This record gives sequence, structure tokens and C-alpha cells, in this order.
Amino acid sequence: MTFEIEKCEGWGRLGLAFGKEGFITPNIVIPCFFNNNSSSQQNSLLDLLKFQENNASLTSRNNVIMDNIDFDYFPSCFIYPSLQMQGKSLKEVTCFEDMFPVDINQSSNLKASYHLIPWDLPTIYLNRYDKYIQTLNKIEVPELDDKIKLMLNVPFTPEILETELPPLRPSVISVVSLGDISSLLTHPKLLIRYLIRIKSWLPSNKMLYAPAVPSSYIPILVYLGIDLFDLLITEMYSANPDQQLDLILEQQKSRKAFSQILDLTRKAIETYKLRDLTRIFANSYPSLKTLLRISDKQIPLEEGTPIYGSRTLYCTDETDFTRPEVTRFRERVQTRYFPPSHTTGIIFLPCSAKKPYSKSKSHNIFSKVIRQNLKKKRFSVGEVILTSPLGVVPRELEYSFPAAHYDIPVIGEWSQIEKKHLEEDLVYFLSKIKPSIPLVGYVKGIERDILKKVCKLHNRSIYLITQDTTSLYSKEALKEFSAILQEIWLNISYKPKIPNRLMFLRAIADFQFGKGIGQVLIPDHVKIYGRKELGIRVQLNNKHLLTFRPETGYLTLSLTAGKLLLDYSCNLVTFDGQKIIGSTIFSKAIIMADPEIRQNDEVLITDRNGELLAVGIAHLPGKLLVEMKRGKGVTIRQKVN
Amino acid sequence: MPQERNQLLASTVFNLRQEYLSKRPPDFQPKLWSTKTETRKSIVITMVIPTRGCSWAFSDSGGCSVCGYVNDSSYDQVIPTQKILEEINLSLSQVDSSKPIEYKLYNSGSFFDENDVPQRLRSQIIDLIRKTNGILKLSVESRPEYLINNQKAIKKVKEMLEPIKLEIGVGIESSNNAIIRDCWNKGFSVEDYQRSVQITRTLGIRIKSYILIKPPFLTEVEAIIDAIKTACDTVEFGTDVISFNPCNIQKGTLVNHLHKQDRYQPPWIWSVLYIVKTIRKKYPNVEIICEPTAGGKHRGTHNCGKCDKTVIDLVDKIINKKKIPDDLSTICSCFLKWRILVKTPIEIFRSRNLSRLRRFDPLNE
Repeated sequence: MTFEIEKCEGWGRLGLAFGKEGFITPNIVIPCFFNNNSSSQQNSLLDLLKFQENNASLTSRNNVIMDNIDFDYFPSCFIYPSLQMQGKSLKEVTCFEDMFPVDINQSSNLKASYHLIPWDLPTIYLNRYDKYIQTLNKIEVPELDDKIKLMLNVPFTPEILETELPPLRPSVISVVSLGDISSLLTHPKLLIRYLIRIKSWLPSNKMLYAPAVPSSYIPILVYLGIDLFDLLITEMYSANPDQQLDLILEQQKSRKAFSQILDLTRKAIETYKLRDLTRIFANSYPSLKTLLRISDKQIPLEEGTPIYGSRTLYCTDETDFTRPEVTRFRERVQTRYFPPSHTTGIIFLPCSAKKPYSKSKSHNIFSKVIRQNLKKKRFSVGEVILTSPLGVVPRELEYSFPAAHYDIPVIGEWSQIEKKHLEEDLVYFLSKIKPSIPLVGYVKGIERDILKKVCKLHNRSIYLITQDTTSLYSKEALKEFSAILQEIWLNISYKPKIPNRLMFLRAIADFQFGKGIGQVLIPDHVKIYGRKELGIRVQLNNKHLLTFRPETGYLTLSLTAGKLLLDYSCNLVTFDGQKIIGSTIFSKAIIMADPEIRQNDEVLITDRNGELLAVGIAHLPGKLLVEMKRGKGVTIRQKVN
Repeated sequence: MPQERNQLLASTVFNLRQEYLSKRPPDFQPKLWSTKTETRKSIVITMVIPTRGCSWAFSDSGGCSVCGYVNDSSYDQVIPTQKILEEINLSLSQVDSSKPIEYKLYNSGSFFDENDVPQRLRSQIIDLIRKTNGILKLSVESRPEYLINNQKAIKKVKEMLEPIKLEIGVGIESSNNAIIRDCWNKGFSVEDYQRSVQITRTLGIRIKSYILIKPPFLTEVEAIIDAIKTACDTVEFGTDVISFNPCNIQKGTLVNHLHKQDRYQPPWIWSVLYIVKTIRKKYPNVEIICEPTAGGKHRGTHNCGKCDKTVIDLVDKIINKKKIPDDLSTICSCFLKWRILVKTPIEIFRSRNLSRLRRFDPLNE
């Protein structure tokens, strides 16, 4: 299988097919309809049909060089007549050559080509796909040229959603074409179910091909896992002057739109912005929007989403409130963040436009007030920022992606879903705090209302500032804030013995690797150098342990840290070998990987016996690390000598 | 006769057929009907009689995947022999014999199948026709196996009818054995058809070959290629008349089932026109018939709905060697849509999107 994935987002992948000399996916394939002049029987048959000249643009590749696009660059996809049209039946097929009207190795003069395995019509139309695949699996495939790969068509039927498909024999078929996908575009619910069905059946190292889809569907279909497209729809439109097209549809007529959108899509995956591009295109059609909205609910897109990546995360419409990064952050705060045991007070603060919050003007003012009033006791007070769409952001996690990277349009009005999310997160958060701990809410407007509502619902008393406060920076409001802080002064214990930065790092470690990991990874006697804004280095017994990177808000591990984490079997990757040579591990050599591993996660590499070999950064999610047979898997940061 | 069949297809067709037939009410009246049309040269009487019904359709193979004619036959009831004979008599007595009569007698099965048309009934019918003056030709239908196995009976009928010409219609549908077996479920092979043609032709009987356009499972382009190839092959085999029948959707059949699932569409009339045009050009002297059943209706061959009648008339014109416009797109804009369908055979991916072009836009559905 010569397909490797370089980067992925959601189910979308930026890959390389046909090895180094090959082409990047997502990309276009050029369907070529079989037209064999040497076979006498076929020839006489096709001679009758004068469609050949009409078909020229499809059959001869020279004609498709238009709009300054060199179509010779793209791989061909050869489509052969069905077995029945060739005068054969499935049960008569005994060997591979039987299925094709010609020797497919003939096409090896092309740069790269896919050959669609001919269909047996009754088994497909009468929904016995399982039988068809079983027969295919039994057929011995001869040695094929490197530039030739096989493709299988699995068109949509309502039955395919229900039936269990037998696994494809590995290494035979490299692409699966989704035959009927173009008629499903206006039925997003079925389309999603169809894609889920195919994805759950197919290993990740197979590519997916969607024939005849309009260019505006490309970003979202890439996001949902499609790798190959074609220009059939442009053929359709250019041949149909009668078609009344609106402005958006108009651009789909041109091949240029296809190459531009594909270019954009590839760049988007590279810069971890595919989701944003998807959203931009989703706004052009209702069915696209539906597709995006339901995909968040039904597809585990979070698995393929990198733990950090792009420098910014824009949340501009309601589909972004459920995007994987946001959902993951909320879920991790809910399940992995616990206020330190010495916390004796919580202050809720509003979010700021400048990120991380502590660098903003408003938060500077707030911390000044807190410092003045609580003095050294302030280290025993937890600060929590209320925001949308991330919900509850503890001060310790303000650097962690996407807390320091998100941006939203601020209008002062919240949608129902944003309110609901914040309420949910608050309920979770409050359940982790002892009832005796005083709560202070220095927020106004909607945040104040929600905070009040949730506290009332859970019988928690909270100090809130007066409702009609117009500005939180006004002297009156800050005075009120000081008064509240003075009031809770007695309830708060003195400065804890544990240094502030240590608690900060432990909270991030918990958030990054799982609950309780902070305690293990960063023992009490470490030495801490540096500042949050510039990065923190941690040493254990004079050996480098880990680094905090302010750009991403995550920790990077050293081998020493790896040893500490080894017993907790998080982010483990098992390497097939004794010693690592070089600085990269390819996915072929990976036997096992924690399915919880995400792209850019810190991973520990062990050998088969569980001995630590190295620490590194994962290039792919855990599932793909195991399933892929080619391409980079892990980049080594530090290895055992 | 060895009956080749695709087990998966046969059992599906069988189940659908049985399901439909079992729902037939007990007081069902087998249908009997006749039409009379006058052409320039002759009067054509078409008579459909409800005999037992096609044995192949009642077999455990379920019959052909598109044929629902058995639905109107007697099946499990007594054949209304008396009524049939009376009706034939009536139809014959009503014509004034100023023009010669072409009598088409169809029983939705095989005329030479003893189980379908009992020998007694057959001789009675032949007797009636023989006695009528002015009949030029009698047309009946049969599956090839009865032509091969029942040569004696055919010979007898032929002799009895003299000098009335006998024409036997045989449904070949496709000259590709795989399509016959895996799409039509016909239960015989091209070789059987070839033999039956040879035998009947030596008896001096005219052979009419039925070619159905667009079997289930095939795409529009594939169906066109197959129909043209079949027509050429049947001419080579020695058929006298080619009858093109665009597929229509009948109850209790596989195509009906597929049509409901949106997996089958009857052919476009443009396709029919294309096929007829090609064959007319290639064989100017062969007699071609094309009278689409349910033409223009949703269950029969149709175009966009606006031009259906016009294009069916064009088919007629071509058959009668009259000139038709060169640029077909001036007749109706849906011609361009059809061209897209055959130019970019995206249907080849088994996509249903474009087959619906004549009614919908793929994106503005």
C-alpha cells in the first residue's frame, strides 16, 4: 500500500499516494472510460456507438488540458464495463485476468493509474455486496506494476447501512469509490451514515474516492475522510447550457474552481485550518451546513484533531460551539481539572479579548485588586474565567490550546447553546468544590445570570456584584469587588506551602495526560526555572525533566519524565525493535499505540517488553499509527543511548 | 433443455412474483382484450387472450425480470375457452374485408406450449382463423424451447393455415448470454434462440425478434450498446422483423421492485430513437417495429414530459424512412440532458443522480 498520511484533521488527511514520486491527496483523478481498439469484439461493439467522439474529452487525456491546468499530472482512473457487459458472470470468474477485458498492466506507461474492478451487476443491485467481496477476496491477484492500483466501488444502498461487509483482503485494493455519493449530497443524514459505515469497515490506509461531486462540497468531504475527487460534474455542466445556475453554482462549472478549492483544502490541513475552511464553505448550502452540524454529533472527529496546531481558533458561528477542539477542552476540564486541595476560595472572572487572559489590561486590573486585598492569601484562591464557547477556563489552563488561541465575535448576546454549555461546565466545576469554600463572581451580564442561576440550583451561596454594573473597570465596581474580597478574607487560609508554579504545571500535566499524572510527573522536590510567559524548565535531581511551552500551553517531556510516566501507561507506543536509529519512527514499525494519542501529543516509545526507548511527538493519532503501513509515525525528542 | 440461471436473481424474481400472485383476489377475472388499427395497407387486429400463462414465469425461476403479463392470465383458474373463441370470432366478424387483415394473437406466453395453450384450444383457434377470408398473416409468440421441441405441432399449424402466413415472435432481448442470464433471467441462451430460428425458417415461417431496451441493472449507455448489438446479431441470425420494446414497469416484477428503490429507470425515448436510427441506417431493408408500451408515461419509456409524444412520432418516422431534423436539440432542451447522461456516463458508478436528470436538476432537486 503506497499511501502515507502526513497530517490529518477530523477524518481528513493530507497524504501522499504512489510514494515519493506520486501525488498529494486530496486530489483529482481523471476517470477514463475503457475504450480498447485492439480487442475486435469490443471494438465492433463500440463502433456502433458514435458516442465515442463525444466521449473524447474523457477518454483522451489531451483534451482535458484546459484552464491552464496540467491534467497529465493527475492519476487516471480506468473504468471497465461490468462483467455482464463483457459477457461474463461472477461465478465464471476464476482468476484475476478474467475480470478485465484487457491486461491492465498495459497502462503502466501512465504516471499512476487506478483500475476499477468490474462489477457483477446482480450481486450489487440485489444487495449481496458481501458475496461480491468474498469472491474478490478469493481471487489471486498477480504482481502488478508499481504505478497500478486497484479500486473497488461500493455504491450506496439503504441495505449497506445494515449489512456487515466482510473485511477486504489487505493489500489488494487501495481505493474505494463511493459510487452513489453524488445523489446523497442533498440527503446529509444518509450521507453521514454511509460514510460512517464505510469508514468503520475500511482500514485507514485505504483511500476514498467520491465521483461527480461539486467543488463546493470538497472541503467538507475531505474533512469527512474523502481523498479523491473528479471533474465529472464540470463535464455535466459545460455540456448543459440550459442549466439555470445561480452565482455560487456558477463557479462549479469551471475546472479552475476545483483546483483552487483543492489547493485551499490542502493548505488548510497543513496549517490545521481545515475545520475553518469547512465552515466557510458550509455556509453556501443548507445541506452542507446540515452535514457539518450533524457530523459533530455523529462522527468522532476529535480523534483526528491535533492537540494543538494552528495559532488561532476562530469560533464564528454555531457549528463552532461543537467543534472538536472546543468539545475536547470542555471535556478535559470537566474530567481532568480539579482545584488544588489547598484552595479555599474561587473567583469567577470574565474573559478578555487578549489572550492569554493574564496579559490583558482588564485582568491586570483584576489581579491588582486581588493582590491588594488578599495579599499573600491570594495563592490559596482559585481564579476561573467564564467564557464562550470554552465554558470554564481555570487560570492554570489559560495558556493551553485553545484557551489562549480562540476568538469569538463579541456582541453581548449569547445563543442558547452557548448558555447551555456554560451552565453544564459550571455544574461540573461546582461539584468539585467543597460547599464551605466561598465563591465570588466578578462578572456581569449573561455570565452573572448563569452563575447566579447555577448556584441557586445547587444551593451554593455566591458573592456577586450588583446587577446594574455597567463596567467592571469602573471605580465603583472595583470598590465593590474589594469589599467582597475583604469579606471573604477570614475564610481563606494563608499561602500554601506548595509553590504556585508547581501547581500550575501539575494542572497542565493533568489536563494533558490525564487525572493524577501531575502528581507523578512533577514530584515536590523539583527545581523550577523560568516564567510562564517565556517558558518554564523543570529539573529533577539536576536532570532536565520537562519544559512548559507558552505558545501551546503544553509540556514537552524528557526521557527522565518518560521513565516517571512509564508505569501509568499513558500515550504509549510500542516499537517493533530493540534500538531506535535516527530521529523518526515510521508507522510501519509501530505495533501498538494508545488509542487516546492525538496528533502532536507527547508519547513514550517502548519495545515489546515495555522497556522505555525514547520520548517523542506523535505525527498521527494512535489509531492511525497502528493502521498505517507507511509514513512518519513519531519524531523522537530524546532516546536511550 | 438446460436452463442456465443466476440463482440469486432467479430466487429474487420468484419471490417477488409469488408475493404478487398470492395477493390476486379469488374472484379475479383473467383479462381479454383486443385492438384494431388501420394502416395504409392493412387492418391490424391485436388480440390478447388469457390462457394458462407463461410456464417459465410460473416455474421456480420466477420468469423474466421485467415481464408482468402473467398477472392477467388464467394461472390457477380454468381457461375461459368458450369466451376466448367467442371473442376471436367477434373480432373477425366485425371487420369489413376491403383490406387484408394482419391478425396478432398474443397469449402472454408461448403459443406452442401445451401447458399454456392446450392443444385443443390451439386447433380451435387456428380453425377459426383459417375459415375467415381476407387474413394475410397470423402472428403468435413463443419461447425458443417450444419451437425446438414442438416442431411437429408447428408444422401442423403452418400446414393448416396455408396460404395464411405465419409469423412467430421470439423474445431474445439480448444477444449477450451474461445479460440474458444475469439481467433478464430468460432461462435460455443465444444458441437456443439461434437454433429455433434455423428450425422455423426452414419451415417457411417468418421470425420476429423482440428486443427489450434497457434491462434492469444496466446503465442507459450500456443498454443502448446492448440493444444495438443485439439487433445486429439477430439480423445476422436471420430474423425477418425486429421489434424494439422499451422496457416498462409492470407489477410483481423485479424492475418494479428496483424502480421503487430508485434503482431502475425506464429508458429515455431519445435512447430508443438513437437505437432505431442506428439500425435503420445499418439495415435499410429489415422490417422494424417499435410501439412503446406506456410511452411517455412514468412507468414506460419517457423524456421530460413535454416532448414525449413528438419524439415517439420521430421514432415512427425513422422506421418509415422519413426524414427527421438533424439537430435534435431544437426539438426539446431535454435532449441535451440526455446527451450529458450518455456523454459522461457517471451512472457507471451506479449513481442514481443523473438517471433522474429528465425530471430534476442534480443540485436543485
